[in-house]
Amino acid sequence: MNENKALVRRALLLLFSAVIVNQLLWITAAPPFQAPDEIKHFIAVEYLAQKGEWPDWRDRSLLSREAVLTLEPMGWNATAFEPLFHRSYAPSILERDRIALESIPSASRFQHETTAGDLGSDSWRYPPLYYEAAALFQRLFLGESLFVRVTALRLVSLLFALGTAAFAYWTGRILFRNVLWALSFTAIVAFHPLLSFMGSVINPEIGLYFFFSGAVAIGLSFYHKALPENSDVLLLGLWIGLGCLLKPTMIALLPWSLLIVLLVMSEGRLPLKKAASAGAVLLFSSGILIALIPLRNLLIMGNLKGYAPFEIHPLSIGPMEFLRQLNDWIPFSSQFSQFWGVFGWMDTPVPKTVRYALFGVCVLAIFSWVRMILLCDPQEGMRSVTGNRSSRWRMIGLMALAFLFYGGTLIASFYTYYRETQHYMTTQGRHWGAALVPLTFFLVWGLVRLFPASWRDRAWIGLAILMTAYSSYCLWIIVLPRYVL
Amino acid sequence: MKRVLLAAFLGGGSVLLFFLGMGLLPVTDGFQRYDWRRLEPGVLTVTLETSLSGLSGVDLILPEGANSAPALSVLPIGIDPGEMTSARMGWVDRMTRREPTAEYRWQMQEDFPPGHELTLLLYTPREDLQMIPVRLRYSKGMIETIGIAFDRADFYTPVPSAFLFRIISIIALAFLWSFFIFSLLSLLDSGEGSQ
Repeated sequence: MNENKALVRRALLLLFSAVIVNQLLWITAAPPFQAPDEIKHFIAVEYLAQKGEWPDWRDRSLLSREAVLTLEPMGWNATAFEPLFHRSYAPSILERDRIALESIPSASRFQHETTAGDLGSDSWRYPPLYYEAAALFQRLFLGESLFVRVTALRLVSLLFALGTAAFAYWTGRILFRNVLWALSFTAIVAFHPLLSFMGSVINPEIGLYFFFSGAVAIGLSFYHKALPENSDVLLLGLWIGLGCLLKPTMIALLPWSLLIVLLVMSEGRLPLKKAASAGAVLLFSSGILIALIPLRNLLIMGNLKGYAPFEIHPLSIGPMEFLRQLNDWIPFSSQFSQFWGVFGWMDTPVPKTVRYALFGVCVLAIFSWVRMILLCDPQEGMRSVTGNRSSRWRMIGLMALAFLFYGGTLIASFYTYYRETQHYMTTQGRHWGAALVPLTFFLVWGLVRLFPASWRDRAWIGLAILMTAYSSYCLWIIVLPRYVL
Repeated sequence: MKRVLLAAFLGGGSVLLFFLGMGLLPVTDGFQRYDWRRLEPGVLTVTLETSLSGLSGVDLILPEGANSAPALSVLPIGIDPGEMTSARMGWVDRMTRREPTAEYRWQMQEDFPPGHELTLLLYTPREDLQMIPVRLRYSKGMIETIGIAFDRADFYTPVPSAFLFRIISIIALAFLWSFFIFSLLSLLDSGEGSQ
């Protein structure tokens, strides 16, 4: 047993070291300001770090469109922003930036696309928690070169990615009796190219991955306890509320958490009265933090304009577009093709053969879930499964629910992929990222259950190896230019 | 020993195969042999001076395939305030482009007098490009085609340190991952990891 513990510690150390190296590799592979909205997030953090206040995107001089366009094709070469933006910099830095900007005549600046109305909705899409925390860190590097400043902020994303991997391990330990499975599960999550990419660029979204994975782990831990306490629920509620201050998508976890409370209650581990108070604590603790966002808008803007989290209006955009956008907003439900490593608007630039192979993998996983449900598979190896007959049936019910949720989404995504992807701009795959841990579980568990019991350990290791290979492959695509000569 | 070899084969191989092996083999359409020296393309600025009055648009007619991601991007500076009509910029866009655009087109919102300097910022890792034709459109319907020639020596500026960092990182990753797989195999041997 002790030998096993030493082995597990060593495996964890090696795994997390590998994750750090992998993330550093991705950080150096993605050219600065090339990731989705990276330049905007960078500016917001720098502005906060320098001035201690939120940038007003209505200010046209904040950033010229042309400066952005100049930055984009320049790869690693250090370049400059609008001098007006960082007027608090030291004169030497200003001079350096002024020289770099000489080639951009001010008369040719493009009008900034952001309008006044965006300010409120922006604060919903990107609430302040990430920016405030990153700005504290960024203050240490304000005098450094642009390259150092960008890399410093990308390291913040690396920390979030590491945290997400740690939560994946915690989740694995809660779900599985077998530590080898938990380790393999962590590796599969940590080397998913979507996490690798988002963990290597400046974007608050990676913070959402961290909070979402954390909430999943805390929720499962609550469920796993023999006699859960209200303090556990309070922790979950506060965690979700904190996550909402980073990205409101976290609200999606509130009903999920209430479902857990109900489940625990139905198993007789939580009396009705206590369950009701647990639900109230959950809603109140998260709600009080969530309410900070419109309150903040009210204080900053003097009104609540743009405070609504959903900016989609069925009457103005038509029912089909409404459904498409709604699909984009629901965190679990985005296009399938994006799950396998799509970054922002970018469709994964993998050959169709690889994509079809990935489709095949998912079809197999879905088939396996159907089989598990129909055969009432006893799910050996899961911690929550006991010999108790009702426990097994409850597990089957939960699996059916999970299947409807994830499997239904994946099937809808197949349809969307074939109907839409070839013709329209794809939705953002990073929205899958928040649910990376449960989705990975859904797919991997489905695949593993296809193997005979004596082969399942090897199957876990094999899937971890395949995911690393796929991650390396995606990085290869990112790093290396494609030539169609 | 057998387990070490297996771990190295499975762990290191999974990383290295896709980093190095795929670069050496023409695996699928569009994926061709990779030249490591092309990691850090350079930037070249060229300046054109228009000879006629009433310049209303600029088109870059790229050679076939020159626009395939991320082979080339062009930024016109001095177009006031130019409206990009067909080209899209940025690494992300270049990655997503399914059908390489043959032309970059800009439409001016006002006509320019003769002698207006037009600066184009070029970025490409392609070494076979030496000249890019540019079509200048004038408001009275005249079209002037000129060529921008450039010297590869000025254009191409690799960064060896970044290249070295990546190579070291890839090797380190392969080692760490191999040892991780080795640990998993050891766990498998010692009672399948159950605790």
